[in-house]
Amino acid sequence: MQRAIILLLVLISSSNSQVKVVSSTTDLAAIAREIGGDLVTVESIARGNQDPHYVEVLPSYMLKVKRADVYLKVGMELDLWADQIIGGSRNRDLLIVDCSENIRAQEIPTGKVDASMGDIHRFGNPHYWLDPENGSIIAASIVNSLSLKDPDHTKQYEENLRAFDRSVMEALEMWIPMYARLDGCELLYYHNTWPYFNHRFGLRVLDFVEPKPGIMPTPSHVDHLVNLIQSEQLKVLAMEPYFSDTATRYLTEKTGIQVVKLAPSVGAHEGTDTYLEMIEYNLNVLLRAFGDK
Amino acid sequence: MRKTLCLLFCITSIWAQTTSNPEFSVIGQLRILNNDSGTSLNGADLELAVTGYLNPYAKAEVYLHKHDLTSAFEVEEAVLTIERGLPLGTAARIGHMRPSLGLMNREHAHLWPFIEAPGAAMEISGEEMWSSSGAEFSWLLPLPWPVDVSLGAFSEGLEPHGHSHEEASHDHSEPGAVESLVYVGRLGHFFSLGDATNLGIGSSYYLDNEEGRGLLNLDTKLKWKPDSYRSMTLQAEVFIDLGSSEEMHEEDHLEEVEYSTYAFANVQFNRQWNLGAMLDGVKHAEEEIHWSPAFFLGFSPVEESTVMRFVVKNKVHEEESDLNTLIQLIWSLGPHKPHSF
Repeated sequence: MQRAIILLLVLISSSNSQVKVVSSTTDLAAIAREIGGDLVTVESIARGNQDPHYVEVLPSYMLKVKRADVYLKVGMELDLWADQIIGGSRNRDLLIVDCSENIRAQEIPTGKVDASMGDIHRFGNPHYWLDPENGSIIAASIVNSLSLKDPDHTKQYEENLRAFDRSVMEALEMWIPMYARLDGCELLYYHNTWPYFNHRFGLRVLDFVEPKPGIMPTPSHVDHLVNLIQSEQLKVLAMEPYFSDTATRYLTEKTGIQVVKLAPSVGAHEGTDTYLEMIEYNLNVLLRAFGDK
Repeated sequence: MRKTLCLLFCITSIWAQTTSNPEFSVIGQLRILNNDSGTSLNGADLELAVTGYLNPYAKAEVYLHKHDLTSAFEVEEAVLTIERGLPLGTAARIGHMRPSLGLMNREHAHLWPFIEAPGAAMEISGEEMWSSSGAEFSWLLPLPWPVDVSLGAFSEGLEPHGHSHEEASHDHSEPGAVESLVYVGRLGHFFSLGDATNLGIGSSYYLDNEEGRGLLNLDTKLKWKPDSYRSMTLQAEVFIDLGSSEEMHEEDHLEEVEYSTYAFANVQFNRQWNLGAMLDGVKHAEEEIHWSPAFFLGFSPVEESTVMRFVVKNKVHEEESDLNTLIQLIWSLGPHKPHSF
């Protein structure tokens, strides 16, 4: 009996000593798991197959954040909904980390930004986690936050960061030659999710199914895409799993273009359970789609 | 009101010189109504919202509403919300606000899938819903499922039985005078029934000691939303007047609402279209309950920034029915907010 009580107390104290992390997306959660290991528990608000721009604010999310020590935000106005969840949690000890802080942002609009440009982000394109090098920058921000909340294990977090960075570098060294055939390939995307990914692997986007970010395709824009696909002889249209395939089905019927569904986040499809698996999954899908170009 | 707007302008001008500007939104609407009295058109209904964080722990929200060309801007809400930083996980709303009495009273009209509030809610809270000055404190209880408790004290209560808004406002000896406080408490439970399905169940209680009036509200909302393109919402509320100790004239007694209730179902069947039906009923003393059915259709061409709604409602009151047809176009200029459950 005495042994059971001691075991229970040890279990309780060990579970309490873990740093509780909640993140906006599964990508940040996956990196936090690699950095924190057994020292942290990690939960994500958005699912991997969910559009991170639109997440409904639920009281159950607030309860998760109420119990958390650290909240990881994507930032750059992607997860604006996170502010409502954090506010609703009433958690005054929460450490909020904007993981975009040290990222070199792409596509920062110049001049006046307004809704005529669609759902445009003032601080640049927020899908920065799709470049593996930015994964390392995110990981460094996570180490800083975990070290603040749990200074006793700073060395362990830093060691995990070095291991994560190594795995990213090794993966890139392997991928760049392995997927060299993608370099210069031209394609269409549904939404402008992939500029960081394109930049890393040399893909060239010619247009989007959305006429402006966040705006549903119009008949005239779809007609323009039909002409573009035919004139440029485009073979591949890549889209996220959460968008409607009404317009893309029509484009396939009219032009024969192949539509592939990528994984914009960890867990979006089977076989994308870790951060590097997700990147590799997308490379494989595109490589298969382009075949011998 | 002009002074309020000038003050608001001065504050926001000073704010604008810093990097932390508040967010401005204007929500306008064109409304066409056809009923037994004829056809009317109002294109000057405007809501102006100024919102922003004051610091990492608190935010301020100001909502001004102008009903038509002839009316002035009225302060619908001007409220400071302390979200984090208070002891015991307390959140506080202080200022002029819509108290947490049921579901409908907290929501602004442009968030509803229909145009007018259900008659059941209007009979209790008035056409523009009930707003009042005071303070409301809330806690998220650390139970396995989210339970939200709120308690508030307010200076102006609901309209007394059988009094119009105008009569009620003349009851005060001077504007803003506080004669007695009214109290509102709400207990809300929330259950996740899966990745896409959530259920909320709540109960609220309103107490006006001066009038000796008690009002019980029960509410529920079930929402299924598997993706951005489809959703289904079922929502219902019932208001039960637990009576007043104040002696009433006979005609006032006859206008007293014993209970009122509404329920609606709204189906979003693709990203742009939604269709629904509502039934609301009001039971006055010594009368049968009068049920008013309504059907509504909505179209959002581009997100929530432009919405068109069409409503047909058969309003039944004192055994007379009046078929109302409403068309509404809502446009919103400014940052669109995430919609909470």
